[in-house]
Amino acid sequence: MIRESARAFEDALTAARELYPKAEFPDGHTNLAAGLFNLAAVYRFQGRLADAGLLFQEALDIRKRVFKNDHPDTATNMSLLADVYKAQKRLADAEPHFKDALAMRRRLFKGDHPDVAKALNNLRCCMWIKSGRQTPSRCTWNR
Amino acid sequence: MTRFVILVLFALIASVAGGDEPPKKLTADEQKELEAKRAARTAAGFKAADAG
Repeated sequence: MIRESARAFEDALTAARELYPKAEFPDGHTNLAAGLFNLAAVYRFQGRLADAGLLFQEALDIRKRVFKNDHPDTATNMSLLADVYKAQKRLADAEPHFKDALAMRRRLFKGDHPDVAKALNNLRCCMWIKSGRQTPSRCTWNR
Repeated sequence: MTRFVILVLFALIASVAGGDEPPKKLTADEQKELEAKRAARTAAGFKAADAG
């Protein structure tokens, strides 16, 4: 079923690229960002990390340009891009994105919030593994 | 001979430049149809992911 999901999201992304061409939408479009993000998430699940990373990055670039200010989708996008880097053992690349996601969620959600807790946990895991204080298998990551 | 080579080069450049033409603008109906397809395939993607 996951292959069917990937095929459907690939079709959706092809349509979105045709609907929102760069010439007419130089900043991109939220629907295009969503299409990139959905397919990236499926590729991540399939273990296609390089493809997922490129799509998450493109979606993140669009969301930063379109939303301009903090947005929950941008924060989630940052976190999932960091998750791909983490899976690729690129912790030095993952850490700044985990940090940015945490900072944005702290600005977005005042007080205690599950998304802030998840971001905090992911950053903690990333830093601990980087420092050798914890092994990846013993760290519980959040999406 | 030189003139011939220059002509061939111009023809090549023209053919390559022709390939960079922007895609034709979609009509309102085409846009509507494509948007419906995008939405339907997105929904199908989520449905398949949930089932898997």
